[in-house]
Amino acid sequence: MLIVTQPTNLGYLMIDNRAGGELPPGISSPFFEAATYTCTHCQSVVVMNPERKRERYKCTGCSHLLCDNCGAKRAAGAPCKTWAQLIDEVANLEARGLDTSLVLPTELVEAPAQTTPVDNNSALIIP
Amino acid sequence: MRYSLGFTTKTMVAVADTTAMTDNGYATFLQGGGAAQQLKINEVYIGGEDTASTPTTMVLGRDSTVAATGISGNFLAAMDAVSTAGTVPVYGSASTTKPQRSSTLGRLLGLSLNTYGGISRWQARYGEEITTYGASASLGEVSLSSVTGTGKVSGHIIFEQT
Repeated sequence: MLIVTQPTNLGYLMIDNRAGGELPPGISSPFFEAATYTCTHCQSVVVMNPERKRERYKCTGCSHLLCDNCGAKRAAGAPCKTWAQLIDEVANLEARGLDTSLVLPTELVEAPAQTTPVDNNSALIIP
Repeated sequence: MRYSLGFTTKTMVAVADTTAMTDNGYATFLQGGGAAQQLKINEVYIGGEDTASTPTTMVLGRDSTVAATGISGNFLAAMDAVSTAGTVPVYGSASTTKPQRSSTLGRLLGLSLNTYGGISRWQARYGEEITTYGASASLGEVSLSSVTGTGKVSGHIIFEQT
């Protein structure tokens, strides 16, 4: 039988500045604790502001909370594609020796990697 | 196989996105040990070690240029006792080709703190870890660095290699 001893349905962020000094930008209390979740589409960690009134976007495709950016894209009609699906697609294409840039979002093909082999089909890279 | 990646007494050098980091002026980078290796980060901890107030905005994010050649720095400890460990991930805080934080994916997790004794810790929900894949940009490497502030920090990143 699974015994749950503490809430495990969310991530956890703790920032403790009680030792003194100026608080860093964006932090209003010397001791800050908050639940977090990770957007399944882009893997950004979202700190759940307890003061927030707006509803968070829950994707009907993956049944998970999204960050505001991905939520806006999804609401505008973008398909549900989780990070895990993206990794799977990249891995499958790489295993077959095919170009992976077509399945990557534009923000992922911003700069060539130093250790990436020379791409013989650079025209396919989305600027 | 789980690992703890440790970094000690690093004095941050604030760095903008898509700008080469300074050797030992960032906490660490973490890169897959091979083309198909996947790493899942489930905890990041930073402890401040300054003797005066130094607000520092640390971020964990993906790198659009990954570290290469002449890599050194930091510590990696296996957390599981297994006899057949896989390829060890690549990590460090100094390299000939410096990491550069991505301008679009470089802010996965913000961990601001005042390094005058402050601490900052994030723990992922099980199944919601930050993932890297491979060893090349922009999926294959994350780094922990300062956007603003020059605090002195130590800490660790706990991750799983799959």
